[in-house]
Amino acid sequence: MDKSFFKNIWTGIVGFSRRVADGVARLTNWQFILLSILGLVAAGILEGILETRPAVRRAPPVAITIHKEAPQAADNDATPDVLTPPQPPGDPLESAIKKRILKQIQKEIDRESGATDAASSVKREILQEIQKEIESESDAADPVSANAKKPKKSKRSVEVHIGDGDSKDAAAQQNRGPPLPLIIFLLIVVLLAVRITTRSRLSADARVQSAEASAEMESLRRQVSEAQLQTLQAQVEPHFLFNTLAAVEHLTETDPPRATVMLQHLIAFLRGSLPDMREQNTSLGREVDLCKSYLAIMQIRMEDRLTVSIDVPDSLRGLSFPPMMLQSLVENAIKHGLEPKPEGGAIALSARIQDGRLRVTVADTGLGVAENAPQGIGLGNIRDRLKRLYGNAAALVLAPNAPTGAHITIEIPHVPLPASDTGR
Amino acid sequence: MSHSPRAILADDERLMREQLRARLQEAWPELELVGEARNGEEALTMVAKLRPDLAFLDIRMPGQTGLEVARTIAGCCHIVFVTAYEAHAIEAFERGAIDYLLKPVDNARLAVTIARLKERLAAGHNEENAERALERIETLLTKLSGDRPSRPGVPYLRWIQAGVGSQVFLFPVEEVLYIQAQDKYTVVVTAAGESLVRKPIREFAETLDPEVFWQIHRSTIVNSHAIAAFKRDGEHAEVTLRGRNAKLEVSRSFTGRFRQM
Repeated sequence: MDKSFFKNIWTGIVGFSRRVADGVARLTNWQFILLSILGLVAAGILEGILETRPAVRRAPPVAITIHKEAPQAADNDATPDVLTPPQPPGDPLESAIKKRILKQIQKEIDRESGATDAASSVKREILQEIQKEIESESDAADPVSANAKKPKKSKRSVEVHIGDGDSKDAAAQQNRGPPLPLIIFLLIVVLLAVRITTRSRLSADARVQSAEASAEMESLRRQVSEAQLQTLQAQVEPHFLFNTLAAVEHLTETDPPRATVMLQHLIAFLRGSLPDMREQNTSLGREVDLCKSYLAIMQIRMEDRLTVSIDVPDSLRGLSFPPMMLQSLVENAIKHGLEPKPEGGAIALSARIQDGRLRVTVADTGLGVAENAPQGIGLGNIRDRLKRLYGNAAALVLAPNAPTGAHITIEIPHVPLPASDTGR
Repeated sequence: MSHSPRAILADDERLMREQLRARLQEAWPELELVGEARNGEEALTMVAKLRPDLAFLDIRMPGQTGLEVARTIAGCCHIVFVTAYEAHAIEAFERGAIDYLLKPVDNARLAVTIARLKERLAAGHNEENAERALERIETLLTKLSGDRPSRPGVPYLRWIQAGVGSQVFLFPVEEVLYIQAQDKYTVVVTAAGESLVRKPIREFAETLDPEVFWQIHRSTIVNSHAIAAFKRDGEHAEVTLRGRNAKLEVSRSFTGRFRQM
């Protein structure tokens, strides 16, 4: 229990000094200088005050001054009935005072007896002596025990100053320590040292913290950009991009007007494919335009191996449609259905309203789904997204196309976009 | 090298073929471009027919991919892959010594490839090169197996490589009349002649279409389309082939097929 008590005290001290150190370190140079000057000035003033009234500062626990002029009377506080002889007028009061003093001294002795140090024992002895002195005087004045006795001394004076175990007044005055301004000055020096060391530690801490924070920010930023890059990669396949750029490059030499057309389609496609996190839904018209750009590029590249037909009524262009789904289906049809087929084929994009639902279909005459697994995986992703967006209100229907290829339909609830978004 | 080098190029996109042709003609005027293929099958046929020294193959092609074509023709000619973007393959190219070009083809890079090809052409063909090339292509194919789906079921062997002298030729299996084991080698007989292949006959038996190629003996496989007649004389049975004098012995365990005829 004692251990934990000291421990508590120690932690208290440590905590306090740490707080002081931090506080000192956080001050600006000017604040610190100002504080130092104030401290010194205050110390100077305080020193001045103390010089005139030293007793105030070094007040001893007991200060006794007894001046004896008359023989002591018996203690009439405790046994008032015993007092038989007529006492001088001041006597009862004096005896009461004496009694009190004795009590006080006794208390002091009792208190000091607990302590074992030299100072305490000296103090105790002195107190005992005083006690004896006073008691003997009382005895002399006691009418019961020493009736005939006359006071030996008509006047007796005892002057005792007790403070910090130092009974000698002069010594007490001398041992008061260095002047207050010097102490304050030393304190300031110590605080300055503390301030410098703490400051360097704090600035190192701050640097570490800021480095950590920036590293965290950096990793967060990287995560975001990686996610965006992944989205972009998922949307703009590098194989498609570089093949298209190679074709554009060739056309700039051989057929510049066609190169321009192809480049414009590519720009439109890239702009539409860039991840736009804000938009959860876009219009069917916008998605169809994106597919048109893509297919126009693929037609320039695949030439007569690709036939494209698009049948989307203008009235449906303003309907809400999830982004990058239709294009994903079209790309799948090209990549897995038509491009790997030596003779190529046709792709048809169409949209209808049927039973209050919007049905958008991508049909191709390519190799078909059964023969290539990746298309199935891509469809799984679209299915998941539809489920998240519409729950059971949406569907993805896959069927073989006649005579070959795949026929894929996205069915979603028929929802017009808010008027402001239908501009495109 | 006595004659000027001959090359074919294969890409499914005309613009890409045109571009590569233009670049090659500009950077390597002596190179003779003898054929342009639009897919893997055409490339194989061209290699077999035209016997070029070089083949520039696009990786993503309909029918057979450039890598699959390369596996079949490795050793017959030097191969340069042309690709727009094959992340895994490029890494493999860079480690192995196989040449590759990225689309759009960069002139400076093309010059490096041409210099390398000239060096190799001067060194000439040999079987060791062919084996190493095949190994590298196998590595590439394994690398890319994560990139693309593997075909369901392994297709039957359709092309056969055979060494004649120091040259390696490629010919379609349809041209094969019969195959016969001979010591460590296998003799592949076509209308044009015989060639030795360092491949056990068992491997042919496993990879050739059994509907067309019939095993008639422990050491003989015959192209059923080439059979003229089946003759049995007591214990002995044999087949004769169209337009050839050769008679091939049919062992007892394989006569079952002829009984149904």
